Amino acid sequence: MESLNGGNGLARQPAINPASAPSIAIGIPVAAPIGEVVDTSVAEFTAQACKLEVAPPFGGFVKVTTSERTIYGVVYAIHTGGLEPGSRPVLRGRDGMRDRAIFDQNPDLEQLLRTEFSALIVGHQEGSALRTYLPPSPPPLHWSVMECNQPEIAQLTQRLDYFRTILSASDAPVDALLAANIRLASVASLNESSFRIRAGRELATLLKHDYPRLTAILRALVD
Amino acid sequence: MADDRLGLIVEGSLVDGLRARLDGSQSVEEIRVGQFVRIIGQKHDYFCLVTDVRLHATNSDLIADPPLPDNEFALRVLAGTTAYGALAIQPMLMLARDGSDDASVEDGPRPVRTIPPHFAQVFKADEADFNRVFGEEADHRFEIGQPLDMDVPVRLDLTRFVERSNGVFGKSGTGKSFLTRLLHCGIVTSGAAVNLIFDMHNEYGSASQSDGGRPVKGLVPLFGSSRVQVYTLDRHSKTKNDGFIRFGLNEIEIEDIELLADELRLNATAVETAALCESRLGRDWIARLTDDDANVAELNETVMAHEASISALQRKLMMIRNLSFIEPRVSQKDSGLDRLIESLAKKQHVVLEFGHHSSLLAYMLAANVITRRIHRVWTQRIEENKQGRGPEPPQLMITIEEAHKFLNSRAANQTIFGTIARELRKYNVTLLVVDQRPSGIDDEVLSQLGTRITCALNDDKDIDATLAGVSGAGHLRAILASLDSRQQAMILGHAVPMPMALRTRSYDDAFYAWIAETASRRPVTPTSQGWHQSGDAVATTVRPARRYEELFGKDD
Repeated sequence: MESLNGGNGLARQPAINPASAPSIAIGIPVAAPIGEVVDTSVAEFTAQACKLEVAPPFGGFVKVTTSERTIYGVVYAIHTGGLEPGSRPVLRGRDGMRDRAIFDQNPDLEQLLRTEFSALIVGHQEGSALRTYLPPSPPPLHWSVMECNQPEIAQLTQRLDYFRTILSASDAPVDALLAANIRLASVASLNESSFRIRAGRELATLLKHDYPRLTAILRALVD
Repeated sequence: MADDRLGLIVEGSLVDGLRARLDGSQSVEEIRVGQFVRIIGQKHDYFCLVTDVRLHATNSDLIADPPLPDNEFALRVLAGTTAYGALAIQPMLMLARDGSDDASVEDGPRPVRTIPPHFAQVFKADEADFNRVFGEEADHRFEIGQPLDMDVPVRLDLTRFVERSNGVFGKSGTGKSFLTRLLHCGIVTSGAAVNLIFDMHNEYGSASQSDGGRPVKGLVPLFGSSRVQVYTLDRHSKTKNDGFIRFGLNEIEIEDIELLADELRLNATAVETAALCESRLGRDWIARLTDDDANVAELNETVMAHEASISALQRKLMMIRNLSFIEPRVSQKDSGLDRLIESLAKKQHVVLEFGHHSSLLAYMLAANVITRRIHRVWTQRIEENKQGRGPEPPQLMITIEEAHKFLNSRAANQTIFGTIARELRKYNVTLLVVDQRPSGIDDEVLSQLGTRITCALNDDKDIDATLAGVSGAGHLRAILASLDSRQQAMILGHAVPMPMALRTRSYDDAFYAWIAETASRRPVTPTSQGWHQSGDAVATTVRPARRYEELFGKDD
């Protein structure tokens, strides 16, 4: 509880207190941040989740807003592990104590573990211009990471140029990521099935030389 | 506008044609071979024909492992992306875009000399495009039909049509006769030329014929006997006619015998014997040979030929003599031929019915003898006209059926029809060749045909023959081969700016009404190239008929 660097910062969440939220002044409630940037570059960033085990969904859209621009990313990895580098949690379930009960019996665990998620940067917005390429500078360290709401997702996915960015990522499970992203984005769009067709056609154009991969992703899009 | 866009040009050449990638939103099934499309280039509009439709895939794996039919999502995603349609397009004409200083803005479309740039947009042609290419409605433009997929008139320039010999081809039952009727009606209505129709089956002239139970009007009920005259070779014809045609054996020349060699079953030796007889016995040689009282020994002596061959020739020539319109000798005045020619000179259209003479022998003999006479008269008048004596004879179009019998490679060099087909328009006489076996027609004659209107043909040889002498014929083969066997035709050549597959106009009550309406709007429509000078053109229908001698001078 005392460690400023430890846990998922349960003790310091001023933004969730409505009284202190700056946006109250203009009457629009601002969603609570879901994480904070802890590692950053122009192509991707990693954030630590504010709450243990509470991360945006795989394939979901997140954003970091600075005074100059809003940077958008797609979550491609979620990881929960020990707080210290190289440390590894040990087995705790004994005498029939399992799952949730382990946490209940060991409240200090939440201070020893952390959840992180990483996002590929897919575009940014400066003023009213939405650009589907990388920003000139990375999102700043320790800035808040928010989840995008549905209108933002619908606006972001009007152009699907970011599929190529995702396809060219080296460390991500790209195919599964695309399928997850398209499923999430289609829910946010006005017409779910036409969005999936549109996204599928964009994929077909990008993957015209890799038919097996294309069909694998398309299969993942059909529930 | 974007909804009409079919796709984008992606590659091609002027010689081999262009290839367009079909837009994902367009269905391949909506495109027809032979469809008329417009490509918008940077400086020109290009008018083109779709010559082939293809399916392509960007990835060969797709071809090996296509999505299953129940995977609707994959089908919808892949169609138009990984798997797409492509069009083969042959550019035909180009027209400078508005605002360009190119002269073709004024002059109308010209043959293509270049091709549109990459990614030029391909659109379905609309009515305005058809009007730009085939011309606005005018007296000399006759609506021959409509494109296969649109309700827009395709017009034939009749003035250009009658300038050269033309062909109507198609296998039996595909609507050749109706197409020919349409052309006759168009020519009568426009006055672009005078028709002489050798009507083997008595179907074009007076009586309303029944075809498949449907009554069909001939030319006389449609235009009246003042404009269309019917002559007959059948003395006992029951149909109303304006005259009986007969002629003498002395009119028959050795060229006729050569033409009829197959029908008379004469071998080469017999034809030579006939030639010998003609040179020794003079113009009445057939009459003398076939005379019942002929003395064979005496004839042998005169001709100096083998007795058996003379007897054989006699027997064969009896087939000619037995035709009821043939007499040993007929004077010019009695033959009726002069009256027929006089009718033509007065710009009256003439249908010559064969009545019960349904044999090819009668048809070929009569057509050849009569046409030779007419050709001589026309040639003479043209020469006189050139020397400043007398008016120019009217443009004449002679319709012959079973044309491969007259114009096969053996006969074409000998018969008058071969001469007319090759001479083209020098003597104001052209042919309308109606045939179901164009491959039987001499190549040289075929290549001289100005406009060809072709109904469905099965035989590859016939299709090749139809396209003989046409540049870029390869592209048109697919269109021709895809025609329905009823009321569809492809038209190409001199009288249309570009080849076009079409649904031919219906020869029905609506068409009869159009004729009546047009006739009331323009009662007499002579062309400037016709027989009469434009000043007295109207007068000819009012003035009493002039005598033949008045028109042509004395003919001996």
